[in-house]
Amino acid sequence: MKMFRDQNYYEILEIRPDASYKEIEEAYRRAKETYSGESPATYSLFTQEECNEILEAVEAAYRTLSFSKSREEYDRRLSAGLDVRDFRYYTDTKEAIKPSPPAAEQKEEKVMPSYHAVSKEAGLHPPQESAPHKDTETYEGVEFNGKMLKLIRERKGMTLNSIADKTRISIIYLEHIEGDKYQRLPTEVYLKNYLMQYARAIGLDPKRVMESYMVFCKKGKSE
Amino acid sequence: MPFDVKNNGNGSGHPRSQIWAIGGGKGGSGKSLITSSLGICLSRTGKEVLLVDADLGGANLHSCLGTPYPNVTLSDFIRKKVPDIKDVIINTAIPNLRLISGAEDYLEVANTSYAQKIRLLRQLISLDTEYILLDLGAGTAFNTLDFFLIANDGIIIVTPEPTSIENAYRFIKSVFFRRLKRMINDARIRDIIVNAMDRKNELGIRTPVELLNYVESIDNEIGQRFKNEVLKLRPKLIINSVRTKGDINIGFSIKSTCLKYFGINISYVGHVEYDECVWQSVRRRRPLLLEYPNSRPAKCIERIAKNIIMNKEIEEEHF
Repeated sequence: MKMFRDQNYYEILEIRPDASYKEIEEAYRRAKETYSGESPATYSLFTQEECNEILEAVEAAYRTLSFSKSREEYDRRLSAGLDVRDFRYYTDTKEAIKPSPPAAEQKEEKVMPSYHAVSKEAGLHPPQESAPHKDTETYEGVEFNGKMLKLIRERKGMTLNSIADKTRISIIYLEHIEGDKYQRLPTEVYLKNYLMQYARAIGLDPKRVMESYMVFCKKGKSE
Repeated sequence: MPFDVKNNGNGSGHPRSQIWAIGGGKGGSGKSLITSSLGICLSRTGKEVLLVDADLGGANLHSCLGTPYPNVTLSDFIRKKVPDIKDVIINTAIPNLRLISGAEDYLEVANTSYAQKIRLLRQLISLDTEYILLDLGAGTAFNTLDFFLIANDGIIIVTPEPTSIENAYRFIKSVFFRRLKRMINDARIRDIIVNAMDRKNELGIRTPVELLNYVESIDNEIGQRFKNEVLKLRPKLIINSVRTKGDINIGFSIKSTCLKYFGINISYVGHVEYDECVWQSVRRRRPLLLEYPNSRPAKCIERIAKNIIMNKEIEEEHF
């Protein structure tokens, strides 16, 4: 039984260590609602100062656990029994969680990962050459499997829930798309539509993403 | 409905009968109405149910059930006018549902001695009934707290208003400290507990969780015992008279706040929607579940009864 100041990020959000992305989002939303000072459930037990302290921890927990790399590192330290207080791995990707500057002034390297780095992380071939920055990124030469799409989304600081909100696609399907769980995806006609919507939502060329992903999908299903 | 006899509430109780104690601190939050309705739900499953109006000094469970004004009441037993608890049990119009009324009982009866309380509890437990539902009074009197703690399942009724929530927290805090104080005789630790009950204590202990950690730092064994006891406390929460989704969410906020403040993992078993039919049934002195069986509040209560028996929370239902 720990004081909230000593709780790890899972305890702060009151979720299990194997919580899904959706559960993290839900826990975060509820915690914000509870400790933001508006709820009648808190004022008689916690001071505003304490609520702010909890909220700060909730924010740190959410940002850390929302990004897979960051969460992996946090989990690693936690299971190794290392001190995880004030863990701020997500600050390594702070450029990703900052709101993007206006498109005209946008400097690609600050809001986007290098194509080479992303491809390497996704285990794919690096692109032949960099694509020019446009409203929708073409990522010329890049192949889009789920892992790649997830990396790009995370680097842009977008949550899966925001994509679900924007596209009205079930978060479960979005998780399957990013998880390359081809057997669990909807039939081809729906999937193509979903992929194009997803690509649009994260600023990629819809047709290219769809075509590239479908190659992986067909190959994955036949294996 | 499947039924599990394991301890899933306050970590106490008797295996023969399942005792549910319904409290919450504030008067008018709907304790009697919900107690009677839960009793009806259970009796409909074929279980023998006994409702006990333990709201000594303010009893009105008989009115919620539409039973005639009772001739024998709990005070007849407490004052030893009758030797056996069975002598004060009355039948209701509902099959399998019986009642010990608290009508005619006054505040002096509420101040029962410890010996009287033990006599009452022993006899209640010895009864051949599957469920005993205790309708507790408002406030944080020792009797109320002890009845709550003796139950297998302690159920807290709250309406989504600041005053009701404040009183519920006061009730939980009183239950928490009552439990700890009754566990030990060590004067030094008792002093610390009494001291910590004052929010502006000299030790700077802000929350019950901090108190447990402080006690542990002084005496590891007692600290561990305390923590184990607190972990056993799993009161159930019902939000009554909800009008909006925000009202329902208050239940989740209370759950979170209790976990962070008290270290108590409350189980949010459901909410009851506000509806005009509730006061209409009370005014007619007719049970809600008989008068308006298809109303939304009646359906909410049926779902709550099921959740309590199944030891489920509304979160698990993907509400």
